[in-house]
Order: sequence, then structure tokens, then C-alpha cells
Amino acid sequence: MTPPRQDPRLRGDDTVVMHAELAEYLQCIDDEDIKSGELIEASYLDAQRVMSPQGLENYLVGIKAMCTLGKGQDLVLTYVQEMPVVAKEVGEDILPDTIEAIMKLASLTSGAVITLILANLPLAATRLGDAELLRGYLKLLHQLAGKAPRGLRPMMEALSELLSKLTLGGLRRWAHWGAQAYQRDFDGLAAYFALQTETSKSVLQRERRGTLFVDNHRKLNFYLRALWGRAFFMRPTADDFENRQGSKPFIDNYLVHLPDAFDAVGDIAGIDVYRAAAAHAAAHVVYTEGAIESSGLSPAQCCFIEIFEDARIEYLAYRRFPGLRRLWLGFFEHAMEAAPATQNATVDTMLRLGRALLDPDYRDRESWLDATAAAFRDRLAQDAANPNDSRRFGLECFERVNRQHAMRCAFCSTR
Amino acid sequence: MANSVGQMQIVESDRDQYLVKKEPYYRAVADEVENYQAAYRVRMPVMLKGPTGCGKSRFVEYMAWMLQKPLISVACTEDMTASDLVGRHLLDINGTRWQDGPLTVAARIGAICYLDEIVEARQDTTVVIHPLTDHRRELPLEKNAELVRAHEDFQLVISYNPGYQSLMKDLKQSTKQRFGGLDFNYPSAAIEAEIVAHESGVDVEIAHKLVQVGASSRNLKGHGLDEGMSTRLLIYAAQLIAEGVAPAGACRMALVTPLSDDPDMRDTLNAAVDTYF
Ligand SMILES: Nc1ncnc2c1ncn2[C@@H]1O[C@H](COP(=O)(O)OP(=O)(O)OP(=O)(O)O)[C@@H](O)[C@H]1O
Ligand SMILES: [Mg+2]
Repeated sequence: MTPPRQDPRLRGDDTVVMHAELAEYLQCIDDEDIKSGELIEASYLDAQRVMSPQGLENYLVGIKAMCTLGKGQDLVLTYVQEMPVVAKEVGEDILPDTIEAIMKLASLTSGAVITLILANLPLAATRLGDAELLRGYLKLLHQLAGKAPRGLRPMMEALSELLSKLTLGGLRRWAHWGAQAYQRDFDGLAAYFALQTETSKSVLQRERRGTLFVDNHRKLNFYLRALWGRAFFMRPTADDFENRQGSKPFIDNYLVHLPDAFDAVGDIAGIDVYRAAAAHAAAHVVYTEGAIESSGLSPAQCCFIEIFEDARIEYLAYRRFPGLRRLWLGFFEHAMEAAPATQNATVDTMLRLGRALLDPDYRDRESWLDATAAAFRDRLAQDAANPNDSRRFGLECFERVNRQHAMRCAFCSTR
Repeated sequence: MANSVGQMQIVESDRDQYLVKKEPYYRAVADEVENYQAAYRVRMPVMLKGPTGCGKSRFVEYMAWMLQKPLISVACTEDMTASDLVGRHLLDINGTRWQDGPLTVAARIGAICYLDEIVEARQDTTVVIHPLTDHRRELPLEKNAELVRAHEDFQLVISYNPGYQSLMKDLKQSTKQRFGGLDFNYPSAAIEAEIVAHESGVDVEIAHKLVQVGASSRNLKGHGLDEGMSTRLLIYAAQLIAEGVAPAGACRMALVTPLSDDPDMRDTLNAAVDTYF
């Protein structure tokens, strides 16, 4: 075994005792620079605290990779300093993705810009709050480096404001808009990306979402724990790229996925939309014991079963927390007021059915619908523990509506 | 000896003033009343452990009433000295005069002496109770050159909130191991609702909702809150409601605002209130 190479700058100053393995990876750093030696040492200690041995290995390999870019010492030092923070925010699995993204960017943009990107990565990690979202962000940067490289630097400088207001989807739309509009106008592009033009600000305003998940994650954790006395794991999803509404919350393996932003719904503030969605998802986690047998069923049949199953778990929840019923009801009331009369007849029926199930005072224009809802509520009052009731009612209801509308169920979301 | 007789007379007449005259409302939660009675019969010192506002003080008052013994309560503080418990010489026109502290008075007249929140007191203060809480049952008043033998009715009770316990503030083992312990906690929902309704005059349905709000806050203990809402706070909220304050406002004032300064937490607690009212 050969003794590890001792870096000369570390000898004789016992406040800076560099880990041997670290020195190995830092051969591209200036030997004279004692100050960065201290900084590196502190960052390395942070890295050791937040990373597993595998993560640490990736981190060190990344240092070497940054060195090989040959884009200056600042870039390397920024990497060394910021990556432990990023790993702490969204998990160390992001390290290889980040290294790869930086390597790709290196052929498209300058060392100074990459350094800025790295310096802003902890901010992006904190604001996006999730590794998957941060990957999406890195991808966006790559696209921009191809389409509008001169926008990156000003965008980094405005990043804090941008991410305080936009989701990843919003940021994408805002950036692509600018890249497109100022394709051939360098000054205009720079001003747009620095958020210094009226156009830029108004696009930002347009893309701005009411309430961001990351600003309310803590509150939602408190809320669900207050109600059910246990932890629920929540993650933001960024599906609002193509369509501003994003997708419905869903549960996967006990993990509750919520959109990374919600707008207010009528009078219901964004945070209450989050509470409603989170409580609904939590109720599924708490009150769903087995999966409902659904093989051989059409998506439309499943939709109807889902309406009753939602009603069942919501019933179990609001029996304990009566205020939840009022909260959830607000969405039906709003949807029914807002829905155009031209809405697909089946979707309209589903909406009314959901409402009737939640609201005994509701009177529908079709009496069978009231009767079905009443019968299901009676069933729940006797025994709400059986998801097969949801299945039975859902299928019966489907038959009836199918006959009625010769339906084509294009999509299955009622809320 | 004349002096000591005189003192005895004062003490005798004082005994009455420490009696709990009217039956305090106490709703037994488990077998704490019987267990306490048994402990008293053998004059075992008792420690009541439990979070703030869960009924410890009320229980002691009730037991004192039931046993028809005088009750002397002392709220312990950090800057309390042994002399504050035992007594000191005071200066008046006739020169210096010995003045008994509350512990000494209790030992002489045969009272139940309740030292509330004993961990607050410094350890060199708490050791003065040691000779009173073992087979000796005596209290040496060194400064008065006197050895007080405890009256046969005398008993010491301390209270103790394990939540506040830290390395700095804990009782010594040699203190702890002089007591039998009764664990107090917030009562079960039905009993707590009964207590809240009784103490405030609101109906049981409202009391029950308040108790559930309390339970949701207790879920957050150790997860953003140091302590959940006490029975005492729930009673406050109920009293405000009984005075005509709307439930949401009453809960905000009595339950949420006192409990936390963290805006996220307060927002959450208010939302929790809304899920019941
Ligand atoms: N079991 C009970 N029966 C009757 N009242 C109760 C009971 N438990 C609690 N209470 C009510 O709760 C209030 C607060 O209780 P108490 O003052 O005894 O709390 P504590 O445990 O001594 O609190 P601390 O540690 O803060 O002194 C009482 O005034 C009483 O109204
Ligand atoms: Mg007390």
C-alpha cells in the first residue's frame, strides 16, 4: 500500500487537515489557495454528514469530473460547496444526474454560467423540494442552453424571484416563451430573462400559480398528523406543463402525490384546496384495506366505482372530522356552478352523483340519482367498511347511465 | 415553654384556615382516588406526574377535602431557597423572631403539603424535604435550633411534569425514590368532555368537539408542539363559548394563540378547529 499523497498546503497548519481521499480528487485546485482548503474541508464534512458512502463516492467522482471540464477553479469549488446542500434538500440520488447535466451543459455554455447554475442549485432544490422536479429543472436548463444560451445568466440572477412564484411547469412556459419571442434579439432576450421587461413580468404573472406545494408542505404535514396522529408522506408532482391544471392527486405505495401548485377554486383558497386534497388522499390511505377487484372492467366502470369508493372513504373521514364534509362539498358546489351546460352528459351525471353522495340536502333533477345516493348513504350508515359495496353500486349505476346516455366516457376525473 | 405553647395555639387556629371547605369537583379517571387513600393511610409521600393542566392540583384539593386534612400548596420556582420552605428569622421591634415556612407549618399542623412543579426548585432546596419523607418524619430547623417532628397527619405531595424534564432540570434519584408515583394524563375523550362540560356549562356535544380539537393538538406533541392543549385550555375555550363567543373565535383565543408562535402551526390548529366546528 502506498501512503496517500499528502498535499503540501496542508502540512504545518493543523487547522486544515484535509482528508487524504479528498486531496486525491482535488488535484486541479491551486496549491497555494489555503482559503479554499478550509472551505473544501468544511464542505466535505457536510457531505459526510448527509451522504451515504455511495453518495460520497459519487460526490468525489463529480469533483474529478468538474476538474476535467477545465472551466476554472471557481466552478469546481462551487460544486464542492453546493452539492452537499443540494443532496440534503432532495436526496443524494440527484448527484449523478447533476454531474451528467453539467457535463452536457459544458459544451453549450461558459464556465462562468455553469458556476452560476451550480451556485443557484441549492435554491432550486429548496424551492422545487423534490428530486424528480430538480431533474426536470436541469433538463430545462439544457434545453435553454441550446435554444437561448444568453438567457441563462440573467435567468440565474432572477431565479429566486422566479421560483418564489412559479412551479417548474410555469418556469418552463415562461422560459420557452422568452426563448421563442427573442430568438434573434439578444438584448431583448437578456432583458426578458432578467425579468426586466413588462412582457416578461406579465408572462410571469400569467404563469403564476396561487399556492405552491413547497410553501405549504410543512403545514400539510402538521394537518394530517393532527387529524390522524400519524405521518403521511407527500410529494409534489409537476404535471402542469401541458395543461395548467396538472393531474389529479394520486397515491402510490402509501406516498401521496400532490400537484406542485393549486389555484384557488372559487372561494376556496389554495391552502384549503391542498388540505382537501391531502385529507382525501390520507382518507384513502387510512380507510382502504384491500384493492377492489377490477379485472375485466372498463375504465368507465371503474370511474363509477371510484365515485362510490370516494364517497365511502370520505364518509369514514367526515364521520370523525365533520368539517371535512363541508370542505369537500365546496368543490362540488363550485364545479356545478362553473360547469357549462354543454358538458358531456356522463361527466355531468358523475359530478351530480358525487355531490348527492356527500350532501343529503341536495336534490337532483333526476330522482333515481337522489335515490341511489340515499341508498348508498344508508348502506354506509350500517356498515361503511366494505369496499365491495362501492363496487356493486358503481356497476349498477354504470349500467343505468350507460343505457341512458349510450355513453362514451372520455375521461375519468370528476374533480 | 410558654412560647412554644403560644405557638401551638396559633398553629391550631391556623389549621382551619387551610381546610378545603367545599367539595371540589373532581372526576376520577381510574383508581387514583383509592390508591391515594391507601398511600395516605401509610403516610407515603406521593408524586403526581403529568402534563400541565391535566388535573393534578384539582386532585390534591379533592383528596384533602375527602380526608378532611388541611392543604398547604407551594408553587416552586427556580429562585426558591430552602428558607422559603422551612422558615427564617425576621426582624421586628422586639428583635428577631422565627417565622415558620409553609413546609414547617404543614409539618406542625398535620397538613398535606403540596409542592407544585418541584423540578423548578434547585436541588439544594429540594433536599430539605428528605428527612420528612423517610422513616424519620422530622424537619431540622438548624437556624432555629429546633427539630420539628411531623404531626401524624402530615403528608408530602409533589407534582412533576415529565415533559419539562431535561438534563438540567430533573430530580435526584435520592429524591425521586422517596415517593410513590401516580401517573396523570389527559382523561379519555368521554371523561374529558364530561369535565369540560361540567366546568364551563357548555353542553356535552360542544365539549366533545373541544376534546377532539385537543386530541388533534396532542397528536402534534413532539412534531412541532412541545405540549398539546391541556384540559385547562379546553375549559377556557368552553367558558368563552358559554359566554357567547363563537366557537372558532373561542378556540383561537383559548386554544391556538397560547399554544404556539409558529405561524404554520397556528394555521394548522385553526384548520383543525374547523374540521370539528
Ligand atoms: N379529573 C378532573 N376532574 C375535574 N376537573 C378536572 C380534572 N382534570 C382536569 N380538570 C380541570 O382542569 C383544570 C386544570 O387542572 P389542574 O389545575 O389541576 O392542572 P395541573 O395538572 O395541576 O396543571 P399544572 O401542572 O399546570 O399545575 C382544573 O381547574 C379542572 O377544572
Ligand atoms: Mg397545578
